[in-house]
Amino acid sequence: MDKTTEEAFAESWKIRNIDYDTQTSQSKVDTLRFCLPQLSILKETKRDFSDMWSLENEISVTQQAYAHLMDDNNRINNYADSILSLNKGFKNALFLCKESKKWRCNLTTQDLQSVLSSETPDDSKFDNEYAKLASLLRSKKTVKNEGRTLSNVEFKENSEVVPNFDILDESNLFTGEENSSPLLNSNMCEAISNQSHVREVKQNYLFGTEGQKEMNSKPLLQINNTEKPFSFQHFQNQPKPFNVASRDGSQIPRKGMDRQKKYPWEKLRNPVEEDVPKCPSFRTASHQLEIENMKKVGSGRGAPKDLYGNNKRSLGSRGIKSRFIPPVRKDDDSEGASSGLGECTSSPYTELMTDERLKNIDAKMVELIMNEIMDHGSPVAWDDIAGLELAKNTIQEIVVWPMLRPDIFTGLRGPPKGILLFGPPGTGKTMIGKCIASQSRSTFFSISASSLTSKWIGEGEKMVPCNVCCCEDGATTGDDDRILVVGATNRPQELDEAARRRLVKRLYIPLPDAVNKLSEICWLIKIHDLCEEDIKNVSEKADGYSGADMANLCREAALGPIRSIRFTDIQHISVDEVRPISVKDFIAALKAIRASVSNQDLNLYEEWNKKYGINSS
Amino acid sequence: MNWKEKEINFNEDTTQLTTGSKELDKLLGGGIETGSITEIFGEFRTGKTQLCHTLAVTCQLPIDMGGGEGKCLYIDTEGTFRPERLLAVSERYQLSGPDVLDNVAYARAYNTDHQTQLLIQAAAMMSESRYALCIVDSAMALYRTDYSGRGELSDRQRHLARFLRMLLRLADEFGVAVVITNQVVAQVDGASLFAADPKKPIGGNIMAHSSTTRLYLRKGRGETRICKIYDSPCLPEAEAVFGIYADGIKDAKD
Repeated sequence: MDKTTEEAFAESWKIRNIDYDTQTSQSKVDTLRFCLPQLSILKETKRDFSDMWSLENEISVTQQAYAHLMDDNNRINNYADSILSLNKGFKNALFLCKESKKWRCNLTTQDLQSVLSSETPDDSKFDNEYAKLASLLRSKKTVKNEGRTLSNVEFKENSEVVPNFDILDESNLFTGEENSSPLLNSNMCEAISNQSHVREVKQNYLFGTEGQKEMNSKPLLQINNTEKPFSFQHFQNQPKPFNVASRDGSQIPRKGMDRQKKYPWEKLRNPVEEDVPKCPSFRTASHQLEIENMKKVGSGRGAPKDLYGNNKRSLGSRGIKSRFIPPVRKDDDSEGASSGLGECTSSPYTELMTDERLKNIDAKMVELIMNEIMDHGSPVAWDDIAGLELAKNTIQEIVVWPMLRPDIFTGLRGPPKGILLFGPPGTGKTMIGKCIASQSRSTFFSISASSLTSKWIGEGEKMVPCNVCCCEDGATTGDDDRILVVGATNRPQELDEAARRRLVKRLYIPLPDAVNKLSEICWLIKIHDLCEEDIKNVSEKADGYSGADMANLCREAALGPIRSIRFTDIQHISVDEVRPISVKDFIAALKAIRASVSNQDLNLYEEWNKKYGINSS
Repeated sequence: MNWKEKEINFNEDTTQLTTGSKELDKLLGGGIETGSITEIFGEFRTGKTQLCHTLAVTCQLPIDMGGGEGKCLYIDTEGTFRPERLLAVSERYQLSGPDVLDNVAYARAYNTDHQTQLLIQAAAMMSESRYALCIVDSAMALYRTDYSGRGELSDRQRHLARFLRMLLRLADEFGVAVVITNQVVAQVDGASLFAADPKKPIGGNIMAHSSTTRLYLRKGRGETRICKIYDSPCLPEAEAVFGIYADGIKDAKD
């Protein structure tokens, strides 16, 4: 037996084992009928089969089971009821039954033998088989001189029995089938006990022994014993696992060249596909995905690909019968294996996530915060902030010193956890935050309200333009993480109480006063021909200007000298030739740049400062 | 012997397939048990199909990661199978998407006979290559419509028993985990008016006896779902919360 047939047999054997118990007796019989010839072929072909005994045992057990099923009149062969119900309409049904008793087939042994002999020469591939059989028949004839007239009864029900017997002759396929006759019980036992007598039994079946004759002479259409003719018919109607030629001979050509090589179960190689070709069956999920995509795209011909045959597949994809391939990514084998169940994060901060303290934090949030860290940019010194002495002093006291000497500032002296800088826009709150960070040598990150989700601030406060600057001390060795939250806001009155409570030190950053403005102008403008008086005048005129406004004012004023240059000259004028900034420029700029904070707003800040600020006098 | 010890002894000879949620795995003593039938039932949108999709991927993971190192067989009766979902889940485990899809054998069943007949094919396929999981989603949907009324009840149940028996044989013979989903029926008679949750799995006693472990899913807040052990030979009756996310079943967030 070649390998493929062995596989096919194993497969069908598996199927038999899987649902044998749940089958109806009809399908059980079919299964057994399928298995028996396989077993005997196995036995014949594998002479060197080491476990011959168990094979024989298996055959006999299967045969017994088969015989048991066939003998049970109430099950497989109980056709009486259906026949009677069919015949109910006919008055002479009983009469017909009686009539059938007398019916005889006129086929004789001679006829059969002539049929056999006429077929033999045509069927050249069966020469061997026929020769064997013929010799057996002949020897049997001579040894036992029994009456070998073919039992008429055998053939009387169905004149087409001959082809069936032909099959019997070809091989041992029907060693099981012969037991389908309940009349052969005695012989069957013999067959079970001695497998080598199978042929003999068959012979007996063919030609009928005396005892059988007697039994066969019983009226077969009696209600109790109706099985025989119908079982024959049944065999022919059943989709058989064997290469049995059906009545019209359409199934398998009887005279094919490769006949001898065909094993009975070859037809059943893929039983399901053969039996139910129309039924959609398993396909791989990727194939399914393809089909779905095609449906979505609506590619011209509506017919999905599988209608044209499952064999055509795109490169790289595997069929349904392929073995399991671990779906590990090829490019990063080791990583995929080591990362295990770890969630896939594409962020560059994956190594941060290994930090135990961050394990409960959403990876996305970490990434967001890391992106907000502003460790770049030039460091800001205290001197860079003009004015705001009070604020600077306070901050130095409560922030910078504790950060530098955490050992001194412990307990009650410990630094506050939060500072709120509030005041009109453009007065340097963010600047102070940056300054705190750079002076205390800590990480500074600024989070604007827009990058925060509503998780952090209440829904209603989402729109508040609020800058929260967080300064985190990089050192992790301390007992408690030294984190200072510096909040900066333009709208302190809209902070809710909880936030207000947490930002203990609330520093009002007011608009710069005249002196500060003056120093700012001096600091910003290097080249000018203004006298002290002029600058003082300008700074007094710029009442209500914030620091940012002052910077804008200076920028505008600085553009004044450039504007006085004619357009044609601007291409080849040297830097030195630009005239310094004059008072006139400032006066013009004062008209162009207006204060961005109104007095009304200022009053609000003052009020709030009086209520909550620490530097309210 | 307390529960813990029993679990440990039990775990020695069977593998469990992780569900993707650690909480759920803990509840199930490691995950979906191989070699037996696990039934998942619950109302619509309680995550039955999502759990199935996640399992179809996790069963392919290495054993030390809670997988089964085998292919998955998916019988779909409701037309709810979505390969894209498998891709999303495989992305989470950093698996190669095409390979994952190739390892899933999918079939759509159109009637109860077809559904049963697919199991025979399944047996043939399982004898050929290594399978870790067999999913039938859902097992009862077709029975619910193919048979109607009390007159056909016994026929239905007989057919169903046969189907489940075949499933159990698959589980026995090939050691695969069998996961079936089931629908629920509302009890509308007077007595159940007072019951808190008048939902019952369908399929009657046949279904109840055939499935080894029965899990009841119900909806929690938002994307969270609650799984309750309804029946199990070894697990205590308890509940676990998990969540359904874009990349499959996971522990519920916060």
